[in-house]
Amino acid sequence: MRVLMLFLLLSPTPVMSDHLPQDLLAKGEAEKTLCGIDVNKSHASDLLARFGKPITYEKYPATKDAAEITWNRGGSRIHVYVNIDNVTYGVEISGSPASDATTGRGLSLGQTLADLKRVYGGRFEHNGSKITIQWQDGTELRATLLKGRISRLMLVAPVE
Amino acid sequence: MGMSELTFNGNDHTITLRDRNGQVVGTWEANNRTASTATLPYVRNGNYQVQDRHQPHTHGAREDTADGEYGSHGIIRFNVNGHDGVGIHSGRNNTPDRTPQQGTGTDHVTNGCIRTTDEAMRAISETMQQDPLLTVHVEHNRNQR
Repeated sequence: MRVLMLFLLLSPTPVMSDHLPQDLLAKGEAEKTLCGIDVNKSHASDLLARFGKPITYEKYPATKDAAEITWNRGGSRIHVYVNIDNVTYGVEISGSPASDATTGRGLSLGQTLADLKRVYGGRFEHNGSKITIQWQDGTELRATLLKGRISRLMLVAPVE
Repeated sequence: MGMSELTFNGNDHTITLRDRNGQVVGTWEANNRTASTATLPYVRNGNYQVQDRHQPHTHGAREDTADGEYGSHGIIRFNVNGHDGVGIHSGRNNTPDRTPQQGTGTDHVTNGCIRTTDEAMRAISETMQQDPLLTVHVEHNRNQR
């Protein structure tokens, strides 16, 4: 029991970002796309045309946003959050690494932390299996590692 | 030097500032509406240690404006286990968010922070210079969306 308590006390608490400190903010232009979906521009109607029939399509008030839509594409699950302008502001992908399940700069599901650093540099928050890259404008790219590989990516437009 | 404290009431949607003597300096509108994608859906009830005790953390006159992300007086950050940079700020007085409710002012969604008014932030900023702000109490809070 003492060993368990000591382990719990010493285990780092996963820290999730809200407003990262200045020295952890990524430099340069924020990432804008994931799966080719621009979190500031892509319209839900265009995505429906591109990805086809979704597996779920919930609209307000069934969801808290204007809409949330999910597709299965080549084994990847793509989930998007849509605002009242019919524009996507958040994209989340998980599952098998489909060919287009990648960020605008080329980070994909199945890649490693080293790949993430190569693509985005070393300024990010890393706690346990969670990595958060936050840019000056508030755009966030979140990655989840499973057995050393990226199992989930989420790109979110600026929210304060 | 005495300490001041803040209480956020998630039921009344107010924030109350007490000075070193426990006297109420003022009560203002506040809310904790967060984006669906926020990693912190709301601040749990409890007492939180303040990081910016003597003055808010500011971002410069160009960023800290009434309609800006943080309002005119910056952010007062407090420690929330597992989260960075959660605090109290104002902002977005005239800009509706893009949720179906199109919240403005204190109802404009945040990434986890409590949003209040510029008037409240000014009063808190003035008080904490004399009576450092030690604690934020959160009570009767819930997911506000």
